[in-house]
Amino acid sequence: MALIEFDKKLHKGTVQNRIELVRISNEEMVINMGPHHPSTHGVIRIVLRVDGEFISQARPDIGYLHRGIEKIAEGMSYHSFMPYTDRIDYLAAVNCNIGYAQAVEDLGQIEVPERARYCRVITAELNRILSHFMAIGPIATDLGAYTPFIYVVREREFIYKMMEAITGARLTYNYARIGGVSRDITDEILRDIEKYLDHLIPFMDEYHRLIGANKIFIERLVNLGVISKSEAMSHSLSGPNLRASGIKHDIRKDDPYLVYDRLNFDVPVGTGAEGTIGDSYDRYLQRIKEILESEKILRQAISSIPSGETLGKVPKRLVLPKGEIYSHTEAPRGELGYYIESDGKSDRPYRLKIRTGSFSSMTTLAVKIPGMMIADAVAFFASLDVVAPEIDR
Amino acid sequence: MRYDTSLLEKLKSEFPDDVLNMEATGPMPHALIKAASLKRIVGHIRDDKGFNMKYLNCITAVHVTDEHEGKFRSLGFNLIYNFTDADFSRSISLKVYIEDHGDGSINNVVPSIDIYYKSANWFEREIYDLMGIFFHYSKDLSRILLPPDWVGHPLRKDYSEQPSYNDMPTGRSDELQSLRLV
Repeated sequence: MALIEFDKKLHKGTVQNRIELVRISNEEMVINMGPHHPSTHGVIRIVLRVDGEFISQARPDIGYLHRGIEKIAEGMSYHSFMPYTDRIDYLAAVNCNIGYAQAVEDLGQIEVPERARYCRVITAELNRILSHFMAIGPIATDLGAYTPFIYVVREREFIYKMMEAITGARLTYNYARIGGVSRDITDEILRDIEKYLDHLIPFMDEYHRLIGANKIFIERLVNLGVISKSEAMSHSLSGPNLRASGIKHDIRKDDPYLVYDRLNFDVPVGTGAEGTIGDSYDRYLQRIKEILESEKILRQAISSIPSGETLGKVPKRLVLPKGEIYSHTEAPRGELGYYIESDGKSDRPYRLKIRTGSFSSMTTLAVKIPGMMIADAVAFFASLDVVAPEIDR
Repeated sequence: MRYDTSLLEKLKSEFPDDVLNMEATGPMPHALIKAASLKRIVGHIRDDKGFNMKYLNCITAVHVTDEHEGKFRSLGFNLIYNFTDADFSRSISLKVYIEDHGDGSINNVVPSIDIYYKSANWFEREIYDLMGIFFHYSKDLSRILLPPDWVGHPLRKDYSEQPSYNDMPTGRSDELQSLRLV
């Protein structure tokens, strides 16, 4: 009996790997990690071939959260598809919204008002902080430390309240619209955000002293799953995973969109602070640094937001000109790319493809996990910060 | 994406027989290349210092169809490869067109590029799973998102769902209908 079946109609030269149960050595065992597992971030299954605690082969099996979003998009108008983009990465919903809105606007040459761009940047950076909190909290939980996760959940509550005041929702916002945003951000909310930012920096310091500077935490994460620069490029990593490996690439700087070209912020990279460049501790530290950068961006955006409209004039039946576009933005989990092809006649996309950072991060698993112990594999997987809906769409 | 149309012209001058067409205008300038020369061209743009395309952004597949009186006629598939160079300053886009010969089989001539990029294998597996395009000499081509015993390729325009999967009906059930006391 084979664990994974394969398609009988192979074509020349291709192989289909599977993990065999027959002729396995006496000490080795094939076990499932997932899909129901507290440490896989969502429903992800990894089939492991283990010898005691040491993993000799790993094969991720995804698709448990595949909802066919790309096929659904072919049957809906561009405006109606926006709530689906929330669910691509529910922890950073606004980033997914604005990525999609931007792809449609670039293909259709639709102007976005200035104030709407600032609103998008403010909500996107707040979402980035939210998402990175949800990355650094579960790293600690997967190692057995539960308190940092509770700290992080409490902080997220503060941001939830602000996002609820802005958009009306706590997790999936449906905030962006083609041509702008759905609601304006009032001055009162902007003052609340600034007050929260005053609280954020001392909190990050406290959080880092609580867990990041903890000797056990460091020992468990340093030199674990080191991804070198060339490997990171080859695996098409993006976002914090790529920067933690030492590559200074941020789409907000290299290919600016919205108002990021007017804002002053740094792009932190991994420096091998406690171990090697590109190890799991670097990936953890990278997200802490990026939260601090997001705070800078937020302060500047709040102080320089102009007055004006928040939604441009876009027809209800939006037909994009015939053509195709691949447009990408910097989501907290990496490069979020939308490929849209329009046939010029209908108000629905002919093809919509979503490229997510988590999908390419998963390609490192089969390469890096063999040789680790199961507990280390859990820690490495947590440091990659993947979410299942981004992988499966 | 910072597309640089001079790169397309450079590609055309270096591979005059393999680049069939160059689309330099529009939001995504790309070069249409022959499927059989894909591996050679990709190897060149990855390793040549003039291109240095060390980063694979995405591989996308589109089902090209012709609608005639409400019925879809499958013409072929477009495969779009997006690359970015090592400094993330320039991008290039390649397009490959595979014809569908109408009898249900595709002329599978696309080689896999997974020897050049480690992430290519998963992109290609997703395309095989959802579109049904085989990639030659792939080190592992199996279904990735759908269960391994699924029949059909959903993202195709002429896909119709199987009525049941492992005895689970895939359509809506008619229970409410059967409960109507008329």
